[in-house]
Amino acid sequence: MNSDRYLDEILSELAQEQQRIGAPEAVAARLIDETRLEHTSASACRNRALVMGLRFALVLICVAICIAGITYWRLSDTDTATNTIPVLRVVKPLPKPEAAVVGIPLEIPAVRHTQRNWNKNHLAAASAGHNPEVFLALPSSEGLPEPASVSVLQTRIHRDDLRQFGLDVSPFDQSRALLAEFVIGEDGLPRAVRIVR
Amino acid sequence: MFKWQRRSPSEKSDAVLVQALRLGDGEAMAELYRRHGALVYRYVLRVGRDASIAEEVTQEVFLVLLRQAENFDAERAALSTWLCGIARRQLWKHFDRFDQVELAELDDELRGISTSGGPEEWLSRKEAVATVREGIDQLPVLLKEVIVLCELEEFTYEQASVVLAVPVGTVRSRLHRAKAKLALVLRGFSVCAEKERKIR
Repeated sequence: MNSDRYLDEILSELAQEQQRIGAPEAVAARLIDETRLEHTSASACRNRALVMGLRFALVLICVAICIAGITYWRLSDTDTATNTIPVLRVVKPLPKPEAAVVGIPLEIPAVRHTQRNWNKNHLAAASAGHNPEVFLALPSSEGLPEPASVSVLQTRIHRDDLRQFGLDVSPFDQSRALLAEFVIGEDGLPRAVRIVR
Repeated sequence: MFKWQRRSPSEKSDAVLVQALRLGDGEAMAELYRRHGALVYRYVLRVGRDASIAEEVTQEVFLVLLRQAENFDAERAALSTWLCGIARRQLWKHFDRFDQVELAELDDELRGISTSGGPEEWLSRKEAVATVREGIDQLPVLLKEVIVLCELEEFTYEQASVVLAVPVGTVRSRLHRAKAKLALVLRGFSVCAEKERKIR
């Protein structure tokens, strides 16, 4: 018998013997556990990355909204101050005036009290000196007709808001809030102001 | 009625199972191990000659598959070939770590040895098989790998070249040398058997 052929036969027999060897079962169980663990940790990593990404995006959005809001507020505040006279609203009804508008009788118990004898000249005299007890004529009311009746409205404003009425306000502390009383004509336009506090 | 009925893992191709494995499917891993685990274990067992090392390396191979499944390209090679390549690299790492392999010189001295003539009589087939088996174990690692892949696991030359990362010609050359050595071993066995018969 040819030895090469004999060797091939023996190798073939060894190959059949080889094929009968199986894989160890213990390895299979470990691999399955490892597969699930690997997937869980990979999913957890992906979830953590996703959550962190969302948080970062949320922070950015909040910051953007805050900046936009602040910008809008500053712009709208500037516009209001330069272009329009603020709408004066009644903060509280006046119980009793402590001082009188010069030229206007003392009895001004409430808002929209009808007054007569409105005398602007008296206001001009009072505006020359600084007297917190009297109303100061507003330069912005220059040229306005004399009202038949007036009302006194109390409101909170900033010091620099007085500029729009033509009053000179120092730059120091101009954003300070004041409680002021305005004399309003029947046409709704202010004629005079005094600072309560 | 419905053609898209869910297939069991045993009906899916290796590529589909590898994709499922990437998604953490334990059943896919079980099926892949069932299909290829024995091959990897046998190869490592034959070349490494240690059952505990074979078990350890087999587990490492499939863990590599789990973690680097995206590197498998079904168009380039079969999964069995890819896994055996990983097994070979893992085994060599183990050899390097423990300094276990002696890269013996390949058998230059076999040149000129004729293997055409054969003994006239053989004592025992079983003993001859045992002799060749031991002869394979004694082969240098580079020759042993080729014998195990091509003769015992019935890989083609092309598949073996992928696993061993050598050209096909090198696979043929090493296989010829390995068989020549085994033939010599078998011839030596038969010579001893003949002498023993004569003595009796």
